[in-house]
Amino acid sequence: MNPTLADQSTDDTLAGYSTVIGTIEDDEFNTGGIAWDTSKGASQTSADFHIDDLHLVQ
Amino acid sequence: MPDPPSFTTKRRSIASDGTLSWGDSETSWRDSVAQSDRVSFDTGNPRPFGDVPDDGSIESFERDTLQYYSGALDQYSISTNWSHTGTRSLKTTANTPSPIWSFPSDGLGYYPQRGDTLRYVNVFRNMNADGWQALRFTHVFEALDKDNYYLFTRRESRRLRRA
Repeated sequence: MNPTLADQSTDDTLAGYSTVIGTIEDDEFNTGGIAWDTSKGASQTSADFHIDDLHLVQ
Repeated sequence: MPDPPSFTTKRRSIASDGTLSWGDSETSWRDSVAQSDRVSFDTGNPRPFGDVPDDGSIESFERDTLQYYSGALDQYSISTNWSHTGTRSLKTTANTPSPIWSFPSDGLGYYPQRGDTLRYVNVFRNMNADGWQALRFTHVFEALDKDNYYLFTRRESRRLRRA
């Protein structure tokens, strides 16, 4: 069973920032690592894809 | 290593004041316009990330280094463009890169735990002029094995555009 990120949601704005937020709710998840695996897609070779500000939400 | 910031666990939803449509076909996304679903968000704050307290940062790339990461380091870089917080962000330099990762003891000040509520920010710029974005990311927790879960922003084939 993979841990899940519940209530994940995004606010997608064209040519703007998108915020992703969610809660770790899996019983087996204790302390884990972080991985970034992103793609801007082959059709978007001239585009820039950036990620920033991984944050704990209070 | 700094102490982890304190926090309380709760669910949050970020809504948009806009309407989005999307197609799920990676290879024929232009055709997906006619087949697209449409979702409207009508309950949200039009600036949803504006009220998130500016503390509890896990990774903002302001250290200007990827020394705490392993993996496909040649396919990412620290960028001085389009930073949401500070002056640095992580930039994808390959179209379909392999992941980079950091596990506890690798050097970040804090690693996610069960019950944590997290958020991060994406920005996609200079996309094709037709208005579509190849936003190929999803947001899940994946298991390498029982003891090595990690927060994983994984590719997917969703394409979004402003309706």
